[in-house]
Amino acid sequence: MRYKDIYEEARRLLMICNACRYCEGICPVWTAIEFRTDFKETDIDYMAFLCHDCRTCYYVCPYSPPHELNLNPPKIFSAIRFIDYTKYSPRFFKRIYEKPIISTIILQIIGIALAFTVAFYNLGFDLNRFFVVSRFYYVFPHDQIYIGGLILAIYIALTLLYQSTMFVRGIGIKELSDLFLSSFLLALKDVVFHTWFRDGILSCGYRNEDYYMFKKLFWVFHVMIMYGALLLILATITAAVYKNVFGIFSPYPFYSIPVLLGVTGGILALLGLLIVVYSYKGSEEVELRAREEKSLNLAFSISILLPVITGLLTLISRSTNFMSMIYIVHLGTVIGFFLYIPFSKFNHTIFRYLTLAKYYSEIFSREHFRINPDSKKRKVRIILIA
Amino acid sequence: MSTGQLFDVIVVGGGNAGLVSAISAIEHGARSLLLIERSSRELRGGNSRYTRDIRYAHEDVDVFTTGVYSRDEMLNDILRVTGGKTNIELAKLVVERSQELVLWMYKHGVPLVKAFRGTLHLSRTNAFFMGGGKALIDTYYKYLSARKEVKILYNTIVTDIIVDDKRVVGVKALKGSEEMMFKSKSVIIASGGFQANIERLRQIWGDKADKFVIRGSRFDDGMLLIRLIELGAMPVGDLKEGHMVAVDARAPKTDGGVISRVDAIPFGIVINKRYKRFYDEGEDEWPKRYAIWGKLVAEQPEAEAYVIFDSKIWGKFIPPAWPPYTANSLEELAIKLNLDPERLIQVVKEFNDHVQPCRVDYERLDGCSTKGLDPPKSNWASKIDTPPFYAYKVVPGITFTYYGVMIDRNARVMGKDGKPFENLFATGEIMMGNILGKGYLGGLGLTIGGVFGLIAGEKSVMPP
Repeated sequence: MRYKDIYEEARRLLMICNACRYCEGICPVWTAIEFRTDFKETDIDYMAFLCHDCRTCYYVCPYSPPHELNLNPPKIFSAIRFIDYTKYSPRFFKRIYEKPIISTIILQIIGIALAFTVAFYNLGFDLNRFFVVSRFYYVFPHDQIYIGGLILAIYIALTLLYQSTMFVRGIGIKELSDLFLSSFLLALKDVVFHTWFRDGILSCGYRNEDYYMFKKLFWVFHVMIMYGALLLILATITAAVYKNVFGIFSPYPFYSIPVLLGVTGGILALLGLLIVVYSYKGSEEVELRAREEKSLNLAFSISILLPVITGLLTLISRSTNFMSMIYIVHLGTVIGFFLYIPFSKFNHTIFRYLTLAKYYSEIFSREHFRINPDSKKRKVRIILIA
Repeated sequence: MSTGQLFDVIVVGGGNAGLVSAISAIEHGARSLLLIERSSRELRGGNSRYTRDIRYAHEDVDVFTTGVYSRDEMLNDILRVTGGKTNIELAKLVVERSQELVLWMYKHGVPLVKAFRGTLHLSRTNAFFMGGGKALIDTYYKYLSARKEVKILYNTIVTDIIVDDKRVVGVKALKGSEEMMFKSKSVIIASGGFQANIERLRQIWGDKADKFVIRGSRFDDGMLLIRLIELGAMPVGDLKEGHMVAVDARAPKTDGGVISRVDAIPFGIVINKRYKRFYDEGEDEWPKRYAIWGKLVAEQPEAEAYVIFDSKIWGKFIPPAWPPYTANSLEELAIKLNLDPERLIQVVKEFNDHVQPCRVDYERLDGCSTKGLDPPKSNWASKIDTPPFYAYKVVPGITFTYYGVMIDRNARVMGKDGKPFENLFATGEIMMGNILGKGYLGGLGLTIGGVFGLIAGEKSVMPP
C-alpha cells in the first residue's frame, strides 16, 4: 500500500472502531479514540505509537479477518509507525530506514573497517602484533575511545533531538510545556513496568485457545532486552568510574562489578533477542505486523546481537592470542551499532514515551475541565534540554 | 468421519446459548458431547460475537454495575416492554436465575468489566464484557476445546433431527458435501432465529425485505426452526416481531454488528418518505426503545426513514461508522438527501412550533415534550434550529427474530399436543418468543439464552 492509502485505511478503521468502542478499557488507544470524532494525520500518528502491539484488540474484534470489514489495528498501526520513523527523520537518511537490514550490515562493515584501520595505525601496521596476548588499551588507547565515543554521542543526540522535535510537532503537541509534568512521570512508570506491553488490561483474562504461553510471555523478552541493554550501559559507566576515580585499569577480574554487570546484561539481551528473532517465524507475525516493521525489528536485533556476541567472545578470549582480533571486531560492531541507532527501531522508545506523556495530559486536561470548566489549564514548564 | 457415533449430548449452535449449554452439560456429568457450529472457526459464535453486555437482577450493589436492579424492577421492565406478551412463569425464571448466570460467567473466566477500573462504561442494569462478545465466546470455546469429552465440529450444518415419537435419537448433518449422522441421548438446539433467511423475510414483509440489513451472523437461516415445527414442535411468537433497530443505510448487508446503529433518534426527529413523523422519538429511555425502531421503519413506505437533528446534538451519542449528511441549511440538507426542500422545512417547522420551552437534559427522562403534536415527542424535545444540520438515512436492521419454539421450565421443546419432547431442548434466539412477545431490553437476549442454557445443559444430562 502507498503512503496515502495507509492513512486512508487507518482512517476507515478508526471511524469504525469509534462507532463500536467495544475495546474500551483494553489500552490507551481505545480511550484516546473516544476523545475524537475525526482522525487527521496527527491523530493517526499519535495513536499508532500509543499502540504497544499487544494484539488484544485484534483477538477480541468481531470484524477482524476473515470478516468483510477486515479490521486489523495492530497491522495498520505497525505500518503507520514505519512511515513515521522515516517521516520524522532527516530526508537525507530515509534510505537507511527503507532498507534496514542492508543498512545495518553496511554500517557494521563501516564500523569494523574503521576499527581495523585505526588498530593498524595504533599497532604500527605490524600484522604480527594482532595475534599476541595483549592489553585492550594497546589496541585502542583510552583517549581514542573517549574521543570516538564523544563524536558518536553528539551525532546520536543531535539526530534524536531533531527526530523527537519533528515527532512532537507531528503528533500535535504545540509546545512541550502544554503537557503536564505528572504525565511524564506516569509515562515513565509505564515504560519501566511495561504496563501496556503486557497485553493491556486483559492480560490475565481473555485469550482464545490459540494464545499459548509463549505469546503471553512475550513482554518478558522485551524486558530482558531493555534491561539487558541498561545493564550494559551501567557496566561501561562503572568501568569508567573504576579507571578515573579509583585508578584501576582493565582487564578487570570476572568477579568485578563492570564485568558482572556486562556479562549479566549481555546474556539477558542475547537470550531476549534470540527468542524475539525466533518468534518472527510465526504465522501471527505475517498477519499482524507490517512487513516493513518486521525487517526494521530484525535489523535492530542484528545490530544489538553483533556487539553483544562479540563482547562476550572478547571476555572469553581475553587471555588468548585471538584477543586483539576479536576486540577490534567488537569495537567495530559497537561503532556500527551507534551509527545505526538514530535510524533504527531504537526511536520507538522516545516516540512511545512522548505519546504516553501526551495521552496522560489529554486525560488530565479532560478531567480537569470536567471538574471545573472555567479554570485555565494548569501549565508546567518542562525544560528538557538546558 | 465416523457416522452413527453415540454422544451423551449434542449441542447445535455455537453461540452464547449453545456454549453455556455445553459447559453446563459437561459440568453436570455429560461424558461425551458434540458441539456443531455452522460457521468456520474464525467466524464462530453467531450473533453473540456482536454482543457486549448482559442484563441481570441484583438486589445488592456489586462490582459489575453502578447500583441495585431488583428482581421486581427487572420483571416489570420485561412486562412493560413486551406489553404483557410474555410467558410470565419463564420470565420470572430468567429474572430469578440471572444473577446466578452472571456469577457463573465470571467464574468461567468471562472478562466482566469491574467498577473500580477507572472511568469505563458501566450501567446499573447490565454487566459489560471487556472487549465485547468475541471475548465472551472465545472464553467458552477455550474452556470447551480443552475438555477431552468435547468434540467441536465447524462448518457443519445440522439438516435434520431424527425423532422417534417424542424422543430424539440423533441428528443428521452436512459438512461440505459429506453427509453425517450422529446419535445422542439428548439434543440441545441453540441455532438462532431465521433473521438471515431473506426468502422467509420476503414472505413476511414483501419486497421491503430487500431493504433489510442483517445485523448479525449471515448463517441464521432458521431452517432447523422450520424443521422442528414440521416435526410437531409448538410455535410461539409473531412472525413479524424481533429485535430490529434502525441502522445506517450504508451498513454492510450482513454481520455489521453494532457499528451501523443510529442512536441519534431520541435526540432528533424521524420522518418517513412521506415527510411524516410516525412515532414518539422520546417515548422512553433509549435502551428500552432502540430495538423497536427497526420494525417502525420497516412499516414505513419503502422501509426507509430519515433522522434529522442539529448541531446541539452532535457529540451526545456515539455516531455510526459513516459520517452523517451535513449541511448549513435544511434546504441544502434536503437536496443532499434527495428530498423535497419545502416539505422537509415544513415538517421541521411544524415540530419546532410545538416544542415547549424546557431545560433539556439528555442524561435522564426530562419530560421536555411537544404540545399538541401527533405523534408527540415526550422527552428531549428541543427545536431543530442550530446549523449545521445533520441527517442519517436509516433502514431496518434485523438482529434476531422472536418467532420460535415453545419450551417448558426445563427448556424442553413443547409439542403441539401440549406435551414436551423428552430429550429435546431449545435455548437462545430460537425460543426468544417465549419471553419476548415484542419489544426488547438491552442485554436481555444473552440472559435468556444463558439461563435456559444452564437449564438445558443440566436437564440434558439429568432428565427432569
